[in-house]
Amino acid sequence: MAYNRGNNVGSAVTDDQEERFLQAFKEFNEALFRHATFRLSDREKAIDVVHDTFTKAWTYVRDGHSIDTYKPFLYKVLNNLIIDEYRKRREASLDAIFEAEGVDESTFSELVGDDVETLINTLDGRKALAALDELPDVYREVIIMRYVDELKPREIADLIEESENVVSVRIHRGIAMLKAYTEGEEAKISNKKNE
Amino acid sequence: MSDFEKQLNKVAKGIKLSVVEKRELEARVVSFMEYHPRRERVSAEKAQAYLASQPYSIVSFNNRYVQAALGAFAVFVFIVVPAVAERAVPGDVLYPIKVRVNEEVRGSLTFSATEKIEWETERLERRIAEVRLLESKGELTEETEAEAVKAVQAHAEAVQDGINKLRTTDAEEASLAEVAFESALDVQSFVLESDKEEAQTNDDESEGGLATVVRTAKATAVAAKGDVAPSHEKVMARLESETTRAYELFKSLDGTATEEEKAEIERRLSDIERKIKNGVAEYESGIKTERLINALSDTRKLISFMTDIDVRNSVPLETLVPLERTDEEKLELVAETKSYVDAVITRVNNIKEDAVDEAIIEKAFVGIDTIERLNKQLDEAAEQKDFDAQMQISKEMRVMAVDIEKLLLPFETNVPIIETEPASTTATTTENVSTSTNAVSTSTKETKPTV
Repeated sequence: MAYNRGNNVGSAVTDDQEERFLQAFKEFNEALFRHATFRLSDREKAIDVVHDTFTKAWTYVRDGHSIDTYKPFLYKVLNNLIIDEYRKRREASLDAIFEAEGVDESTFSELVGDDVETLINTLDGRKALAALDELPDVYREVIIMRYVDELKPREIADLIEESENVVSVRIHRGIAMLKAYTEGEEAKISNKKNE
Repeated sequence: MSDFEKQLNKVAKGIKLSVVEKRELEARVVSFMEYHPRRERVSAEKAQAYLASQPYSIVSFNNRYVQAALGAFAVFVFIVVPAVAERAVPGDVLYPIKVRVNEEVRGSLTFSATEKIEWETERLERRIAEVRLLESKGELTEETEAEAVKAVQAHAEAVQDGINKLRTTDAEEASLAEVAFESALDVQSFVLESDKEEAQTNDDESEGGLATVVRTAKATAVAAKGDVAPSHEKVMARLESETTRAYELFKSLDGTATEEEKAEIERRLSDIERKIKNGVAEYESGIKTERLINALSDTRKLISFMTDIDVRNSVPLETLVPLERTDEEKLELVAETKSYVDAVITRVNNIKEDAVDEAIIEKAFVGIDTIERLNKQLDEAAEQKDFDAQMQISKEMRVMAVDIEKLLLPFETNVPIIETEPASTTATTTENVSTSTNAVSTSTKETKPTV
């Protein structure tokens, strides 16, 4: 058995850390699983990465560190594990192409056009959802964090260690890509009909 | 909210961990915590503040060997001792660590009220198993047994308190917890009963103290039962998770159970499946029955049988979870009973009138009249395809025929002995099985000897 629950100060601190960790598990396991399932499209793999997230968090705690706020910590660990998973999987994916070309996020000219709210309101939900898997992960990641996990751009920025502006640009671009993709598909279908 | 967000939300809501997945994930994480205990490192600030409040001075150890020795000591105290203590029984030096440290810590790691109830139930089972182990070694003292009785009582009360509290927040969950607790108590009752039989004693003092506590706990649980029955969905969800667990345990039995035991367990699993199927059909037709709850209780008992080698060695599975016969098997048993009853009636008719006492013959024919009446009822039940009723009626017919046989046996000469129990209980075929009761002789009155 692992835990000492005596009356000394060490135990008091340990108990507190254990309770907070277990509370965090209870509170976030479902949300992390949902996030991972969206990102990986693989239920079994999603359970594994959620498990690894909590074991990594516990390892961090048992090494004597203290986690002030579990939510960003867990999401950050989960995100890193998902990226590792992508690295294992990725071969000739869109991600690789984007990475090779380099995505320039130093300019934010597109933010001058339609804002995200306008863009998202014009999306066909069902088609956009289907197209989500087609997006490079840098965009899918922020869209899932924003609209599934309901995290604020500032929180996302902390998690992925980018500036808030970069996050806003990625959300904007991601939504724009979804729109282009869904309209492109429609155009293809109507072209076929015309032929 | 945009259409896209709505669609995302809809899909997101559908992505959930199943009960089994959640339980497994939780078990994996908790197990990781147990195997990787937190190192006792306190932040310098907190330690300083604490130590400053103590009336002794700080002693620092810089010597590498002393630190290594302290590390080894910590490993010994926090890992080795608790692990060894898990095997301790009352009277051992480490037993208090098992009960007051290990079990208390494990109890504090339970999240929900249901898990706390399950854990207290397991502690109750552990106490009984410890007493039985000591008893089998001949090391059980009165003092130890009295302590165990107290502990079992305390755990039973803790479970009951837990259920009562849960009832105030989630009455349906509480009623499912009641089913689980009652099943566990049933299993323990059977185990203790088997010990008593083995010792060939009715003395309630030897292990009887425990048996009494368990019986009282069961009576309390039955009396305290809530009025709210769990919803069909809840029962089905629980059945799904429990039967999944049962099948997983069954798969892992290789090497630990005999082929015969495995066949018996497999049979009970299929019985449970059939019970569930019938229960669902009844629910869909609007018929209220306890069949699904019984299936849940059977599953729990079967899990106990598979997980607890002590239970497996003490109680036959048939006692714990009686065989649930298929309709075909029921018909076969009915047919066997009928042929036995026919044979008895034939024997009555063959007895020479002057060889038997008039009063006895009179009694025998009263019995035969009753059999004829039951036979008509059996026909009606067969027409309605009510297999359970047919079983019940045929049982009554058998009892009557056995009585008649006993009555006449002393007056018979050269009569072959007729089997009094059904030859087979596990047949699965209906071939050649008569569903009509016409074969039973009804002409006995015509051949009744003049008395």
